[in-house]
Amino acid sequence: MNCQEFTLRLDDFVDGTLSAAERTAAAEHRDQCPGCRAAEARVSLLLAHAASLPRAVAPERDLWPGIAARIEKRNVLRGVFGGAGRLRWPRLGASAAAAAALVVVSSLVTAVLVARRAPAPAPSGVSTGVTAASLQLTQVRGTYEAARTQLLAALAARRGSLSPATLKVVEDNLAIVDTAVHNMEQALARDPGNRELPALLVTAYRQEIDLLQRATRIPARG
Amino acid sequence: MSTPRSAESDLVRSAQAGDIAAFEGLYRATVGLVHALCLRMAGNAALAEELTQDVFVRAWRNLGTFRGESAFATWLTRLTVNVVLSERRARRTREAHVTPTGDLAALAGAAPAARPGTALDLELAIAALPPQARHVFVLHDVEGWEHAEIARRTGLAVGTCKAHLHRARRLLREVLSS
Ligand SMILES: [Zn+2]
Repeated sequence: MNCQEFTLRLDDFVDGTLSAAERTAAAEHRDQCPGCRAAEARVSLLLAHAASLPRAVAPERDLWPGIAARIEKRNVLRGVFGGAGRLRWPRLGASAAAAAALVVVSSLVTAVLVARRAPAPAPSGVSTGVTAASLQLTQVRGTYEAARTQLLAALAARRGSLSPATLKVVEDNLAIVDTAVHNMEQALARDPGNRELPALLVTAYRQEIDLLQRATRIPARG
Repeated sequence: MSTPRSAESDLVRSAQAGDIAAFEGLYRATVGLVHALCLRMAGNAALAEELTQDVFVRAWRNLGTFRGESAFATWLTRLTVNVVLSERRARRTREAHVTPTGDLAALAGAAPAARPGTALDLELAIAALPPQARHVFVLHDVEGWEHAEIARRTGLAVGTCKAHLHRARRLLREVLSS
């Protein structure tokens, strides 16, 4: 083995991932070559330093209040609509708002189903104008979270003016969209390289905001 | 960090049932790990704080998927890497290049004063690495991940990961020996 060959294998040599034969050849060269011996020593020293870096570095400020605020915002949904125990739902009337909400959700469900069949292209009209390459998901997510919080607060404020049937439809649909968003975020966490999911996730964010906007505009009962 | 495993599983179970106070306990026990990883992978103190918060918001949301097959810290570490890498992908289009001076100053500010000189030099040098070389170095040489796992998470080929690691080690060696 010459110096060039040794240099090419240096990382695998110090990581212990060379084959037995190559390892022996590399060790022989190192023992005879001061330059390569010094190079190996420097890499080993670097690795020793890297391995001894502290595993935990506390942030300079307490980040919990910001985290708690964001978590509680997401929990507002449950607070706004309470549970079945707090409101008694009469028979469902098919209001225009309910129909609108269901249309939104069914197109979202289509998007989710398509996402599960990864190679299929997104259906037209679902992810128009959104390409995985152009996405800035983090930014979009921030906007979504802010809009969502605002709309949930608006909805909470007029909760008393909506009929229980309408509230029930809105609640059910929000739960479906929320689950879809949640599932897609999990899928993306498992498969961050997926090119379809970011676009679908942004679409789901938009659908949820759209649904909330419609819900805040539903006429008061009377 | 010293939370015993059984106390940790109790906290996880309570948090999974919606107990925010229990989740705060998990946060307190693990924030240093998450923040250290964000800081090293992002190479920027302000961004690391943002990412750390994102990780815990996501952790709260995804807590139901934690089944206790690995330690909670291991699960959280994988989530952290996913959050950092997806933020990076989103950011890459709007940032041509990192600005080492600002990042270095921020990292120096975040480093405990008692940190020995070599460790601090190394932290600063890691922060100044090109992003992909930095990610691979931190995951492989600080966190102890295998190339195959890094390749899976980053979407890079194993050979590409190795090339990034080689570059990172070469650059860092120069810093340490200068
Ligand atoms: Zn040689």
